[in-house]
Amino acid sequence: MTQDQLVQISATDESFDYWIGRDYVSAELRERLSEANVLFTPYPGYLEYEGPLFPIETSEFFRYLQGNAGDGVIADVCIEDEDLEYLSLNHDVLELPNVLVKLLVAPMLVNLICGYILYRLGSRIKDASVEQELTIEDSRTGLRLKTKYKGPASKYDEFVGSIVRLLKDGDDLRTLAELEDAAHEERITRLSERRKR
Amino acid sequence: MADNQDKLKRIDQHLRSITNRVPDNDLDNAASQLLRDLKDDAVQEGDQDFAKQMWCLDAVKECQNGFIKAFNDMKRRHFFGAWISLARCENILANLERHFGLDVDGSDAYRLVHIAKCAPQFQRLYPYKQFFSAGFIVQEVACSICGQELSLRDSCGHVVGEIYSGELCGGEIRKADLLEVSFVENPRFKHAVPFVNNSVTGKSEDHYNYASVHYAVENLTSPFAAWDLIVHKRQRLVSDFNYVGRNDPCPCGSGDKFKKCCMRKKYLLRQHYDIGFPDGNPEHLPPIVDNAIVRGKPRYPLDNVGASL
Ligand SMILES: [Zn+2]
Ligand SMILES: [Zn+2]
Repeated sequence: MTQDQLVQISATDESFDYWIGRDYVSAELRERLSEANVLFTPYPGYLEYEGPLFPIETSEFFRYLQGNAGDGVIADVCIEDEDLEYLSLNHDVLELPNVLVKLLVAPMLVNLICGYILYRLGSRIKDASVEQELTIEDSRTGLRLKTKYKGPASKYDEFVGSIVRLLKDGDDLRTLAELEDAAHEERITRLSERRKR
Repeated sequence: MADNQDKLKRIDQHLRSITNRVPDNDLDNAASQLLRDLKDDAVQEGDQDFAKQMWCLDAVKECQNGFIKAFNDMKRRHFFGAWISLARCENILANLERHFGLDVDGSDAYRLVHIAKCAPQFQRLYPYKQFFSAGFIVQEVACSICGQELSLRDSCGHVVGEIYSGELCGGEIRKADLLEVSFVENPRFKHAVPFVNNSVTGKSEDHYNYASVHYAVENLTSPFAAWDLIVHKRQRLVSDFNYVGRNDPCPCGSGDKFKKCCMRKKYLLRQHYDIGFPDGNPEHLPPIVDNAIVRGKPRYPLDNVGASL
């Protein structure tokens, strides 16, 4: 896998309303979730098992967010407590739950994720892998992008973080194509800076 | 309190005197008992920090003993048992790194830095490339400290991976459904090594070639002797491997059968292990053993290991 393939970007229709409106979310929970700006979203199933599933890492990561997030971050999980089911696989990949985040708090969230990766892996960070889908919703432009990361734990910030920062700084980015152009330019600039050094 | 200081000193001495340690002998068991007593007292007095420290010292001892046992097992050619011990060391080290640190006095007196370097080196020399992977849907996980079901929004307050009253908090799976079994190359639980079933006896048998592990361990005088490992790939002529059967594992290390992998190519890339023995005697560079330790199989040359001093 080359570096460029570590993260895949695509546009998505899966908004906060889409997730909160799922049939396994009760009216009571719906009210709670509508306050959230960081929402853990389930996998749609696994193999023949159909039903919302979260990676086994979910509760530890959720607890970490609760303990370390600043005031602006309101994190919640798109499932009732009693319906929560985990997927556990025997592979040595830190599988973080998929998250839908409002752009406003996305840079903070990326910092928290990087902090969590370091907390969980310690020195193993240099050869461990991380897998996660992070969807960023920009309410200014209506742009909603899904980043799918699968790669070295140490490079999460370089790849996902830089996309989030591009989005945050560029309020003129309205389409996926525009973001891809910007990301491409950013990478070329960074590469030429590296060469100059 | 003076009594406790004295006990702590004895434990510290035991953890430092690692080269003549015999795991689970009387002396070693006495140290375990001391640690248990100190921890129990601390818990009774509500001294969480001291209880945690005792957990850490006990983990240090367990990690050292596990590494010594792994080394002895490899010497005795009990390779799978050694593999399990090495994986155990790896887990303990991850917890110690978080709660204790690996180098407490800057001189690696407990040799944890050495173990953290060398246990993975042994693991890399092992021939296991594919592992069973069981996929589970987990419905219920309980807290190992208080037994309460883990819940996201209504937490018992204990955090997985932290230490309470001298015990490590873990999630205990209470209810789960097995969904699938497949193979992975990078397992989280390394014990899931597949063995072949002997069609005659019906028993599973160890069909792996441990020549490179054996080579390294044969040339080390103690678990705490220094050694280095550099792994790289070398291009080799496929015709060099005419002794490999069509249904044997491909020499490229993919885990696939030779006939389904590189057999028809001209070249293949073969993993090469360069092992350095900095404490070795330059006049006695260890000879490359030319046979593999495989029962009932042709003897393959060990052609992908080099040694240096
Ligand atoms: Zn508990
Ligand atoms: Zn091959």
